[in-house]
Amino acid sequence: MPADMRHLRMHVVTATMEEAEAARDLELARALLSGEAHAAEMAWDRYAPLVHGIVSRALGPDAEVEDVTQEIFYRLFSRIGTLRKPEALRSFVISFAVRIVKWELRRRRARRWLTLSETGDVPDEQIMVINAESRYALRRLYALLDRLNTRERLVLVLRHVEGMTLEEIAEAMELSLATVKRVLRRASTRVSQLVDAEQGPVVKRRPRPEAPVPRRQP
Amino acid sequence: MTRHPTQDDDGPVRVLPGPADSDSNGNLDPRAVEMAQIARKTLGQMSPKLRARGIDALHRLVVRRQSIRRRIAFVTVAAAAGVAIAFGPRVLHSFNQEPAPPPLALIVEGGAVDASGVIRARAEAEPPALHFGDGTVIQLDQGTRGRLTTVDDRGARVAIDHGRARVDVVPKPHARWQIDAGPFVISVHGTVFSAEWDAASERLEVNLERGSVSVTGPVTNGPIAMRAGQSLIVKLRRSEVVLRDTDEQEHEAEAPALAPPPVRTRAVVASRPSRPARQARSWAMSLSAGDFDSILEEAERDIGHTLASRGTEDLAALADAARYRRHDDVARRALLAQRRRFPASPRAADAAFQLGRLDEKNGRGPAPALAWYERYLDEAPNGTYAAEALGRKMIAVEELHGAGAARSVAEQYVRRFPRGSYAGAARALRVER
Repeated sequence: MPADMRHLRMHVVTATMEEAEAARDLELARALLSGEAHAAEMAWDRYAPLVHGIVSRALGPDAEVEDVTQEIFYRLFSRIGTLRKPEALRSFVISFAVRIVKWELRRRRARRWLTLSETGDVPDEQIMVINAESRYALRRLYALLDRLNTRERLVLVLRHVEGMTLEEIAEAMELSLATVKRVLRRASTRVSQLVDAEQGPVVKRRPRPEAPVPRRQP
Repeated sequence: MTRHPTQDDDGPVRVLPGPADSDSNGNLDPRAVEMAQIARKTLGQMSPKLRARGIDALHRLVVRRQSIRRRIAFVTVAAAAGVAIAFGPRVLHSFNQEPAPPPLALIVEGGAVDASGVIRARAEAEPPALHFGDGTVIQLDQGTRGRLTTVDDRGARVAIDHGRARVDVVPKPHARWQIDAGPFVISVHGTVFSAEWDAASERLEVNLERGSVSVTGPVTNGPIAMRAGQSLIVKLRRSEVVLRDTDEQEHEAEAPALAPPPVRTRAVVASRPSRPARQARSWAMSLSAGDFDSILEEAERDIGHTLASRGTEDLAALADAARYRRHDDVARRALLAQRRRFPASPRAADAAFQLGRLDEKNGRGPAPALAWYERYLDEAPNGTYAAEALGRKMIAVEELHGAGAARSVAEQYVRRFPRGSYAGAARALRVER
C-alpha cells in the first residue's frame, strides 16, 4: 500500500475513533446531567485512570493520590451542573483535576509537607515497585519540582510528564496560551539551571559486568 | 518538531514534545526531559484492582459527606425554620442511591393494564377501576380511554385520553398523583374529584368534592387552584375558563321551579360561607363564580375611574376577568394600575408576571416580556409564578440571544424546579450544542 494511502487510512481510522470517543463523552455527560443512576460509576470507570495519572504525576509518588482522585470525582459530581458543553466532558474533567491538584499543592506547600518526607526524600515504600534507577530519577525530579511555584510545576508536569499540548494546558488551567508559554519557559529554564547545578547523570547506572574477553583461538 | 506517541491511560493517543521544539517545550534540559519521561512511564498507572477499590472508596466518601451535610442542614433548618437546604445534586444522590422502594401495589378491577399502559376493560359493561396499595382508587367510566403512565412508591400518573374518571386519592405526606386530562394536568393531594375530558369538543370538566387540586394547561394562564365544592369547565376552542361553586350550578338549575335550596349531604357545605346575593358580590367573588362579564361591564363603564379608585383585590379580579375574556387592553391597564398604585405588594409582583404573559401573547416580542419576567423574579423570587416565570425567561432569552445565553437560565431552572413543566426543555437546552 502506498505511504500516502496508509496515511489517509490512518487518518480516517483516527477520525472515526475520535468521533466515537466524542459520542461516548456526550452520552455520558447527558447521563450525568440528568442524574442517571449509573452515570457516576460510568464516569469513574472512564476517567479515573486519566485523573489518577494527572494527580500521581503532578504530586509525585504519594500515598494520598487515591484520596485526591476521589476528592476530584466527588467535587466533579457536585458541580456537574456547571458543565456548559457536554461534548467537552473530557476537558471539564481535566480542568477539574488540575484545579484540585493545584489546591492540593498549595495546601502542601503551606504545610511544608510537599511531596517528600521530613528527610526530603520520596518515601521508599511507595515506589518499591520501581527499580532503583528510576527511583533515583524520580527523587531528583520531584525534588526539583518542589523548588518551583505551583503554577510553574503544574505547567511543566502537564507538558513534559503528562504530554498535554499547550492549548490543552491553557484550557485546563484557565490561562492564556501566551501565559502558558511564558510560565513553561520560565519553569524549564529554572529546572535546567538546577539540573546543571546538581550535575550528575539522570539515573545512577549500575556498573555493567565486563564482557568476557573472547579467547583467541589458537 | 519531533513527536512520539504515548498511551498512558484509557484516553486517546497523545504526543509528547521533542526536545527540539523550544517554543512549546520551554527549552528544558535533556536530562530533565529524561527524568520526566521516567515519571510518565512509572507513575500514574491505575490497576483494575485500584480502580475497583477507588469506586468503593468514592461511594463511602459520598455517604460520609452526605451524612455530614444532612446534619448541618438539620441544624441550619432548626436555627432558621423555613430556609430550604439543597442536599446536593442528583448525580451524587443517584450515585449513592439505595435500591428504589417498590412501587405501589396495583389491582385492576374489571380490566387490565397492557404493556403500553393502556387500561383495558374486561367487558364493555364493566368499566375498570385501579386500586392502589395505599387505598387510592381511580374508577374509569364506561367507554373511557385511559392510560397508566407511571406508578412509583409515592403515587401514579394516569392519563384520560377521552372520557371521565372518578379519582379518590388517600392523603399521605409526599404523595404524588397526577391526572392528565387531554392537555391539562391535574395535580392532587388527597382528594375526591371527577375529571372529564371530551377530546372531540376539547372540553374539560373537573368537579371537586373534597380536598384541593390545581389544574394547569392551555388557556389557564398558570395553575388554577380549586377548592372543595367547585367545578371547573374549560372550553379550549372558545378559550373559555369557568370556575364556579357546584351549589351555584345546582341553584341555577333549580331556580325556574323556585325549589328550595338542595339539601347537601356533605360536610363541605356547612364549612363554606353562605353565598351572598349576586348584586352584593365583590369582583373577586364574581371572578370565582366565573361571572367575568359583569366585572368587565361594570369596570368599562368608567375605566379611568375604576383604575384610579378600586382596591388592589378588585384590580386583580378585573385583570383576571379581562384576561379570561381576552380584553387584553383592559387587563394590561389593570395590571399596570396595580403596579403603580400598590407597588411592593405581592399582587404588584404577580402583575409583572401577567404583563409578561400578555406581552408574549400579543406578539410584542420576547424583549418586553423578558423584562417583566426578570422583574417578577426579582420582586418575588419564590412567588407563585416563579417556576413559570423562570421557564418563560429561559424561552425568551433563547429567542433573543440564542441557546448559549439561555443555558445558564436552563441550569438555574433545572436546579430549582427539576420536575417543573419546563424541565424537559431546560435539560434539552443544557445539552444542546
